Amino acid sequence: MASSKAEFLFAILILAPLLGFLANGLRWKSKNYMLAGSIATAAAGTSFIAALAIVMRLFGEGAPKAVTADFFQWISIAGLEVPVSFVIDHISALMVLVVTGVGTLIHLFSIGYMSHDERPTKYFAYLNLFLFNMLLLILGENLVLMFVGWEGVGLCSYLLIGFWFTDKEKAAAGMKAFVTNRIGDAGFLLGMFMLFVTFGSLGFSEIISKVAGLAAETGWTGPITLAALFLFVGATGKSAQIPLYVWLPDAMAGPTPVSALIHAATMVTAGVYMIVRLSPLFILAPNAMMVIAIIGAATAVLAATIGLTQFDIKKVLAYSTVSQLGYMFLACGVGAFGAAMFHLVTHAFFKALMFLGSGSVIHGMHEEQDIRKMGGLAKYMPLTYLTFFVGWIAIIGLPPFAGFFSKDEILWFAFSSPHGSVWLWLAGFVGAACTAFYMTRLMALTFWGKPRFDEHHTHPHEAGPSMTIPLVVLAILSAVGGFMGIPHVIGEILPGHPGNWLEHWLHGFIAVPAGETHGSAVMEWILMGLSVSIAGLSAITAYFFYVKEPSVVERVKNRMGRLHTLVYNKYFVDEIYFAKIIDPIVNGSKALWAFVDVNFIDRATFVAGDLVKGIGSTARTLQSGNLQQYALFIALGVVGFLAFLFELRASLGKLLMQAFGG
Amino acid sequence: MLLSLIVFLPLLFALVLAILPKESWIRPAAFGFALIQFAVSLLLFKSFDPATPAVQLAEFFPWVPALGISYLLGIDGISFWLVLLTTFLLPVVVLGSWTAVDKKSRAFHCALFALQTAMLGSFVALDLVLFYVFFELSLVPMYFIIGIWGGQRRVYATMKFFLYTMVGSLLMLLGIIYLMFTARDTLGYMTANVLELYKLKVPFVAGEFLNPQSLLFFVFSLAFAIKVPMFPVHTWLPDAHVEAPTPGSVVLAGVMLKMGTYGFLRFVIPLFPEAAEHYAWVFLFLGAVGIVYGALVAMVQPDMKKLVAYSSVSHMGYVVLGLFAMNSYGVTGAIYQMLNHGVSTGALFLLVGMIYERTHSREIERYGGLAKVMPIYTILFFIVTLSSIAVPMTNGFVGEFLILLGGFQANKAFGSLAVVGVVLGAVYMLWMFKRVFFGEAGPLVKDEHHPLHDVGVREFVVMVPLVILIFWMGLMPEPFLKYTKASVEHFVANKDAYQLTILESPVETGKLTAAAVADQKEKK
Repeated sequence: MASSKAEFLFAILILAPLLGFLANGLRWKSKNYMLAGSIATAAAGTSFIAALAIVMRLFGEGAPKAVTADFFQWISIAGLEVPVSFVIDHISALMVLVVTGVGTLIHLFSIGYMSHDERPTKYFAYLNLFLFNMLLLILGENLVLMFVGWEGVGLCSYLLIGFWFTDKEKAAAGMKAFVTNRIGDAGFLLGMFMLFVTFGSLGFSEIISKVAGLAAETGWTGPITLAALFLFVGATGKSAQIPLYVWLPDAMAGPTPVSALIHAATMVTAGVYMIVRLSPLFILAPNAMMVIAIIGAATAVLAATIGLTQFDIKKVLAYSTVSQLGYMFLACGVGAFGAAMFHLVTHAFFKALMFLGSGSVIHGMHEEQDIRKMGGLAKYMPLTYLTFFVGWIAIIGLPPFAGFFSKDEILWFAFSSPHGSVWLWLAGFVGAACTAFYMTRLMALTFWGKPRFDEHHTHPHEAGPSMTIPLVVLAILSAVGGFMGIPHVIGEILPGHPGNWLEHWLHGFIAVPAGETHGSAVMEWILMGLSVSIAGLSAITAYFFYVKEPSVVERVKNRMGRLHTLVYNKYFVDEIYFAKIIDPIVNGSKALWAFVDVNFIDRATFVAGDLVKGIGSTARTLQSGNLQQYALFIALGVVGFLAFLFELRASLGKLLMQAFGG
Repeated sequence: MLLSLIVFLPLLFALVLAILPKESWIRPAAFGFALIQFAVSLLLFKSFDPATPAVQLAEFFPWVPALGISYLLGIDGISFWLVLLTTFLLPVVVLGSWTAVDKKSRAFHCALFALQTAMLGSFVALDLVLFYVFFELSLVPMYFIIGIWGGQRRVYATMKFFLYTMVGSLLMLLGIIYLMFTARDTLGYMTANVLELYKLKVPFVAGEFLNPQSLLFFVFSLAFAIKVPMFPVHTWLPDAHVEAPTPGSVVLAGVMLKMGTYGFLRFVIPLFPEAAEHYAWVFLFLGAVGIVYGALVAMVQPDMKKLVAYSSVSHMGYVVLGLFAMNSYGVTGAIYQMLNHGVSTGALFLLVGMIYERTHSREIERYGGLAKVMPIYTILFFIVTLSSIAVPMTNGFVGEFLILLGGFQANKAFGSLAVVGVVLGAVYMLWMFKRVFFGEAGPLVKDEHHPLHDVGVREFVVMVPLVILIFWMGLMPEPFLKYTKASVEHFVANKDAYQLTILESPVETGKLTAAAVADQKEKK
């Protein structure tokens, strides 16, 4: 009975958004945003409650390590078993609550945000479909099911980025996202194949039980290392890491709540989640781990520097997201899977908050996204300002808000883990400095200083409760969310000595790197102090630059000259991709078509055809009209045919024997 | 008698259509006949036992006893779905071409039904000569369908189509005759019965190219490779498709191409197992190259129909890859992909045909912004696009996933190369989709003299079964796989010495053949 009830709850959890999708999708022409939004939000909320009900079972004495539900066998061929079964353990519990919880808030926010849109019903249908696929991704007990969700969320991302498809740019951004993700997906597929060929299974628990006790691979070509690297290629696509991050900034073409839900809080973290889920596998491939750490650190810094120069409020947040995802991969790469998960959760809170805040700003400013045309909005939109302020403190890593705890844990592990190094820590440190700078710049240009828009024409205003309630809830979470992972050094000096709850919660579910950690408690305090001071210092500098002495900014820009142009243009990565990869492929394909298909293969065929024609015209001279000659030919033909029929086999065989000595 | 009924019923219908008194009755009658035909083929579910790999519902009559040629029909897990795919597509095609074919509709439908007989015959014939007759017979109606109802360059296209396929199949005929003589020497009697020929051990010398088995292997392979069509003998296909009328394209892509891949699975690999094993890498390579090449060339096509045609080259490359992986995943995936391709490429051709009927243009650049004008058409097209690029929960994913898994297991390098197709497939389809449906209205879309209407009831009805199948096969593949499992397992487990028996047959066909031959001798 107990297990069938679990199945019932899982069915509600997963099917509610699907039903919401169908309910809205089948009446997609309706313009009633309130009805559509209510259906969709109710569906998301139902999922959240069901998820909560399942997660509750994991608490208490004698609680199971995981709740599972099996439905039916999807594919079953000669050893390849792909059951439709789901699992909520301590890892997916965190994720499912974030996705359905933050998801519900963003659905609610969307009701207000999309109230003026022409096709709100379609929008909400897509949003629910996304949630459904995201749940498959998180809860699936095997890699195939995860892949189904993985591609499904990519599809919904495509649909929502290109939601306003009459705009060519937006449609192009959708396609770019899908194709870039597909490159990653190809890697994911290869990783899966590698695992299946090696372990004969694609189930998470089965793979993990099979790798348990295996020795770590030292080289680059071992099956686990290759599988880990292929899967990481998949992660770079979905989670926007170097070299596949280019789609995420363009993805801001979609409606802003979509950016919050898909392109900040949930879908883009799927790569991190996948690695954490398979951490016992990844830990056996130290070389792959090293690659992940380096790519993560590099992405964190690169994206943060681009963020310093952008003027589109959403673009700044997008690059910030890429950068923060880089931190999560850095954590995975040094074996701090718990820290990665921690940052994933807190980032979901404060980045969703900031995206929704930016949505509120854009909504209030009548679709204006350029922060050069804002300023002084604190006065007009106090609630948005206040909540955004909380998000700002959280992301730049000032205690005691959420980002401080999670980012600091990552920095500490980057330094102290057996896989870590002082260079990885330094990259994270530089990234943190940049983050504090560009975020303060964003605050300053948007909310502080004097308004730079025409106050007679634009009347910024606070939106209704459907948009403000989610902001407040997320602000609270961003403020207190960090307390789930208080580091030991701090816990010791606090009254009551709170432990690190998250670490305890994930214990036994994620791999822990073997080997010695370096660094002491004193060192941890010093590094913590350093990162907090650099964040504070950066923030103060940015405040000085953008609020007190705007003239300095121009002077610095001029001094930097070329460097500024390079960074402002995002290092020309898109241009390089087009010139060096995409255009050559398109032109090469045109050449293949023109030269191989039309000119080579077809021409060869025609030459052969002409040859036959030539023989034919020679043969025509035989048609003389002489009856006797005809009779002779016929007789010869019959004899020849008979001889052919009866001797064919013998002669052919003989011929072969003689000619080729068989 | 069920198989004979399924095979020849369409021919009977063709005759009835030919003498139908009124021209206006043709289409409704043809549609009715097609539905009856499909319904009759559904009887297979009642009599077919999916649990056994043996040949079922066999029918045997001596045809030319002296040469061991017989009328031998039979069905197993390999041909089961292909027969149903063929009969399923007929009503779809008849209804879908209601307005597309506006001249000589009587002759057209006769050709269509005659073609049905030829195609069904090739899927159930288990005598090589009988198979060859059906295989060649299918060319004739298709020749007329393209040649009479085709586009402007139809004569060029039909010539190319005919020459290519004839060259391949004539060589195969020589191969068939050679095999029959080999049977005379080895078994003591001449036979074209495939079940008997499976028992032959055609001499094979590894390391030497020119030995009987390898030569026969390549002779048969060439015939089927042209039919599939595999890179580099694919160039007849784009021309044939572009010139063919919509129903011709649907049948050509939906069913006729599968006669090639079916040929590999039924004849080439089991008849020449050592050569197939030895040269499998050639086909894995050509399959993978075909996937990538077809996709790249599809990407740069300015004509929608040509794009879909090249996508067929890519998709059929997957099938070849899966077949020559020769493991359960690859072969199952290949069979599944044959069905998928029939459904989704058939659907794509129908959709392209619908828009062509409205604007008389397939030039991608002249469209744009269609999504706003024809929303339902857009949704249908999008769903089929998803199937074509193998997004999970559509049929395409199941096939492609299994094939790539099998291909990777068989050969990591070529398997990995094939995975590139996953990316390129998305590129060419979505790029076309973007240019046709998104952005601002193009010249054809905003033409005020010819406002575009969204899909009508008939067109919608045509698409519905295809869309249902796309999701059904994607969400619940097991009911479909159930029918192929036993045969595929049997094939994979015994690929070195493949044998097929006939289920519940009182006498073995081999003995029947021998008896018929003896009988003949006595009479003399």
